[in-house]
This record gives sequence, C-alpha cells and structure tokens, in this order.
Amino acid sequence: MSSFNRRDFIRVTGLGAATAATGLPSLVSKANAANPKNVVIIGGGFAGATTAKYLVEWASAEGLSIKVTLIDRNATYASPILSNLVLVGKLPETSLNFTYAALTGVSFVQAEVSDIDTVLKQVTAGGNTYAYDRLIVAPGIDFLDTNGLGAPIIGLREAIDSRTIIPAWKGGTDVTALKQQLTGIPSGTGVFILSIPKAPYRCPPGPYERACVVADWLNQNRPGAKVIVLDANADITAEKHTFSTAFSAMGVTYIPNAHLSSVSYANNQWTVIASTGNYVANVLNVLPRQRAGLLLDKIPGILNASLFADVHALTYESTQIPGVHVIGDAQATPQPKAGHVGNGEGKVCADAILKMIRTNSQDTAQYIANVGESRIPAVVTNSACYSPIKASTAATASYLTVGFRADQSNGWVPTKISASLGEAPSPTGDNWKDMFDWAENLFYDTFNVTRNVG
Amino acid sequence: MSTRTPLFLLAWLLPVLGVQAASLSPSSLTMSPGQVAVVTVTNIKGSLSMTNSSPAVAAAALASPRITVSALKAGSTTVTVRDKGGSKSLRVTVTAPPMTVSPESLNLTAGQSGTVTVSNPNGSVRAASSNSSIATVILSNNLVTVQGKMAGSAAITIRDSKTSRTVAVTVTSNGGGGGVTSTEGRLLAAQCFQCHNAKGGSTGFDRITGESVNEIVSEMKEMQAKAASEPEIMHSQAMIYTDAEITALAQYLASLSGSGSGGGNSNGGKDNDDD
Repeated sequence: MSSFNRRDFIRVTGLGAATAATGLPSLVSKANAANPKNVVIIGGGFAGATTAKYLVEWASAEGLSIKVTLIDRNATYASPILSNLVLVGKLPETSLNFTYAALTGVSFVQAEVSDIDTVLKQVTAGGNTYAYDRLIVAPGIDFLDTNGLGAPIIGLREAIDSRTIIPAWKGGTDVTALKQQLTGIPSGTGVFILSIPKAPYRCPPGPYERACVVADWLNQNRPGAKVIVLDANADITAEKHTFSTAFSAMGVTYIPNAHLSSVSYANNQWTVIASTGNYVANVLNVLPRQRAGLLLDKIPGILNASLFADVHALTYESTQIPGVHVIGDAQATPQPKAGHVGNGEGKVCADAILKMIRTNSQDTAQYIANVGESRIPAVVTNSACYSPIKASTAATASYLTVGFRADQSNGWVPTKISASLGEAPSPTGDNWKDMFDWAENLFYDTFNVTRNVG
Repeated sequence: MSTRTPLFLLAWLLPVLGVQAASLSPSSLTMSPGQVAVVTVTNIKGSLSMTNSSPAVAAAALASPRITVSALKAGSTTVTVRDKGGSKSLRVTVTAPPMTVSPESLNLTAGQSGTVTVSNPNGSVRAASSNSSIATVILSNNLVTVQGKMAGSAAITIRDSKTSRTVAVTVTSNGGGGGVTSTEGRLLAAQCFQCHNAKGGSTGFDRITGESVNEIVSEMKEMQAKAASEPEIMHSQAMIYTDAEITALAQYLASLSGSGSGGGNSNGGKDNDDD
C-alpha cells in the first residue's frame, strides 16, 4: 500500500456511498471541491440574509465548497424591527435600510422570481436561471382579506390597494406614509383604530407596542385624541401584563374578540363594522390576517391549510417538497414570527444543509437515517425582543424572551421551554437603552453592518 | 615435474584450458537494512573462499554453496568468491528503506485523539491535515497525534524528503446524551450572536468571547440560579440550556480569538454578570 491509499480504494470500489449508509460521513472533500453545491436563497430578510451569511462562513471553515446565491426583489431591506420608532418620529426611515453588500461571499441578485421548478431544481428570476442543489425560500408574510372567522372584510382590499389603509407591517416607506396619516388626526376628538389580526401573525407584541407609542405620540401632539385596539384574539397575545398595564395608564381602549366585517370611508372618517360593534376613526390601521409570502404559491403543495409551510425543525426542509427549505415568518413551526428568531432559524438551516451535503443526504429522513437519530443533538432556538412603550420623554421599553427545543423525544417539534419564558416586570429606561443594543447587534449579525440607531 | 603444481599456475592456465569460474545467483543485490538474501554459488571447482569489501554495509556468511547476505546500512559492498575456476563478484547495494506510517487509517470520535507512528523517515518529517476543522495534527519525535474535532473526513499527509504517505481520518460525532460535537457548540453559540456579537455591532451587552470555558459556564449557572428570583432577560435565556449544551457553547466561544469589540456597557448601569 504505497501509492494506493484508502481514498483511491473508496473511489474505485464505490464504498463512499456505503459508508454514508452506515452513518459515517462520506469522504466528499476532493469530489466536492470540483463540484460545489449550489444553495439558492429567495428572500433577503432577517432569516434569508442570516442563512446566506452563515452558510458562507461555516462552509469555508469546514472546507466545503458551496455557492450561495441570495435573490430578493429589492436591493435594500427595510427592517420592520424598530419601525414603530420611525412611525412616531424617533428614528429616520433610512436608518433601518440595509443592503447585502457586506455579506462577503454571498452572490446577491436583485430580481423578481418568476418561476420555481422543483423537478429541474432551478429558479428563474430576472430572465436568468439559477440551478440549485438545495433551495431556501424565506418570503416573509403577505396579507389576506378575511377576518379571524374566515369571512371577507368588505372594503379592505380596495382600501389597501388605494393606500388609504396602510398596514405598514413590512417597514420602509409604508411606515412613513402611516406616520403622515397620523398628522391628520385632530386633537380632542381624534381617533386612531388599530385592528389586530387573529394569530399567527408577524411579531406578537408588535401591534400592542404600536398602540402604546401612538397613544404616547397623540398625548404629546394631539392631546385628547384616543387609541382603540380591536383585537381579533381573545386576549393580548404577548406580554399581557406589560400591555394591559400600559393601556390602562395611557387610556387605550382594548376590545378583544373583535372580528372586522367591513371598513368604509365617508365624510372624512372611517367606519368599522365589527363583531363587537361599530367604530369610527380618523386613521384606520388594519393589520390584516397573514399568510406565508405569495411567492410560495409557485410551489404547489408546499403550504398547509393555514397557508404557511410545514417543515422539519431539524433542517427546515419542507415536509411536502424535498430539497426546499422554508424559514422565517413563512414556516409553520410553533416559534413566533419575528426577525430575531428567524435569524436563529437561518443558523439551524445553514448548519443542517452543510451536514446534509456532507452526508450526501437528499432529504431530512435520509439525513436522520444516515447519522442515526439518537446521535443528533437537540435543536435549540430563542426568541427575544424589546418593545418601546413610551417613546417621547422618559422613554421606556419592555422585553419578551423564550427558548424552544426540538429533539428526538418530542418528535423534533420546537417546544417552548417554560422555564425560559421571561417578560420585563415593567417598562424601564434601561430596557429602552438595551433595545438599541439588541437591535444593533441583530442588524450586524444579519447584515454585517454596524448601524448606530440609539 | 613434481606432483604439486602451484595453484596460481593452474589459475593462470585454466581459462586458456577453457575452465570457467563459479557462478553466483542472483548476480547482484539491492536490499534495505535488515533484509537478508541468500546467494547460491554453482559450478564450484575445488574449495570456495569468499571476501567482502565493506562488511559494515552488509555481512556475508559462506556455507558453501550458499552465501547469506545480511544488509546492515545504506551503502554498497562487493562480495567476491574464489575457487579453482577463478573469481566472481557480486555487488550488494543497500538503500535506506522508504518511510512508512502506521496505521494508514484512523477512526476517531470528536474530541478523541489517536497516534500515527512514522518509521524510517528520511530527512525531516512534516505532517498536515487536509481539513483542520475535522482533524488537527501535532508532530513530535516521529509520532503524529491526530485529534478529531468534528464529524467528517480528513486526510493527514505525512512527508519526508523522499516520499509522502496519507492517513485517512474519519471523525464521527459523540452520540446523543453523552457528549456534544464541536459543530453543536458552534450552532448553540451562534444563537447568542443576535445580542452578543463576537465581531461587531453594539458594545452594549456583555462580551462573550475572550473568556475561559469555566468563566462562561459559571456565569451561565449563576444566571440560572437567579432566574426565579431576579427577572432579567439573560437569566431567562440561561434557563434554555442543559449543562452539556452550556459546556459545548462555552468551549466554542472560548476557542474563538475574541477579537470582537465590547465588554463594557455603554449604558453604564447594566451588567449581566451579577457580581
């Protein structure tokens, strides 16, 4: 055995595949370098951008040759996180815009995806075709016209299309447009109605946070104007103690189990007909019921009956379509729909994809069989966020955090770790400062950009 | 004429008379030190004698009709036999043996070490791993210590001045429950980076690189102990992890170069260390 070594032996006899079947990673390094794996990511938000960044970083550390392509219809991502501070004039809109330029090693393509072919394994965008070995789709959320009872909300679609109702739930210019609407609220008699959709929706504490900072803004700028919250849910869905206390202190009217049936504008005001009564407002901020980004309609069968994508929590691979992974708000695990945890899901997905490549596994079941289920460590993620409560003077914020664990014993379903659930005992100025530390670190972790916002 | 004809006259005359010298088979030798070869002498006329020009290179022992040649060290020597037919020489070349390594493949679990012995190196020896994320090497006194880092395959190339040898290393993960792999530590630690970035972002929260494993573990355990009585976001976060997971992420964080900025608290009051 002088020049004929084990690697040659494996290549000649085809034992590489056999070793993969017995659970040992196959010797892929030499073959892999000549055939880099293509990983295509559609959607450059907190989940998609983080996955791209960590795939490049970790593949490089492992000596695995991959090509990472990130496709987004926009060249700039507008962060919804902290956008309620833009809404009430505490931050400039542009301070929350991020490009992908600092994601070294990621090939970024600005284009609208026109087709996803899961048989040929290719994505068509901007007239070009991108072949993939593994596809990650992170399209975020889109809006429905129906209420929590499944009935259509008459007038909603037209109002959103004509931009007279602006959800402003995706950051960016919509937030500035909603801010402009706030200036039209009169003092004394003004009313701002916030309609919260039935869960699941993006950012559980977000709507309540918006109600608080708007109430505070009105108190400062339009004294006497009021906030009414029409919540389709039976109760406050996150930080109940924090928000119910704040609502009381700020005079916010909170109506649970409120399902909208129609919205209409006449005589300079909105009329809302809901299951709990009729309401009028100067500004109507409807957060519509949500579904996975419309992009996923290009993959028939990938969405469940609730219009989100079921995935294996070990790899975030679709349970319906092998080879396609869905992360972030669009996937259907019990984790909240939020940027911080979407970033964490991206890391799990990146790590799993590298392991699938290394073990020559075509899908999650094969990966589990190749490695041995009992040898796979638990998947642990965490959700955390800070919410501004009062943004004007003596600013305060609250926080919310909880961890999730998916392992063999719970069938790989991310399950809340109750002991890790934490809510700020009360909104504080310290939390307000920490909120900016959190957001700045999250921005850097996702986009490799240091942005000083607070 | 006397009956005792001088032998040398006969030696002189024999070729003229058509008498051949003895034959040696094989007629030359190339050997490595330690090897032994047998040379057979045929067509012997009368008694046979033997000489060896460099016995330090190879020893030669005659037990007619066989010569046993034992190679001792690199070099060459000439073994000559003489009989009534004349003399015959055999060149013996002793070459240094090639370097060998043993074993030629290693199976390790992540965190485990194995050794490869290098034999007969010529000149200085170098050892390198094809993928130091999978396995690392340390060479000392012709012993290569290979440490498995994380599941995967790597090739260890060992070179001397003349040749190279490859040892195939397969590293497997430690298995559920008992231990954790280094990529598990990496993934767990990465879930800290949304708030505690190792390389940039805000300096507000405590820096988590540049600390020892023990420091990180004890801080996490301290925060777990306070979670119920002192609500703080990091106390809640610490409650997420098992002891094995804390150790794994601590090992990964401690292995980073700790080049990130931070460590202070820009807001003055907040200190998650609770000292």
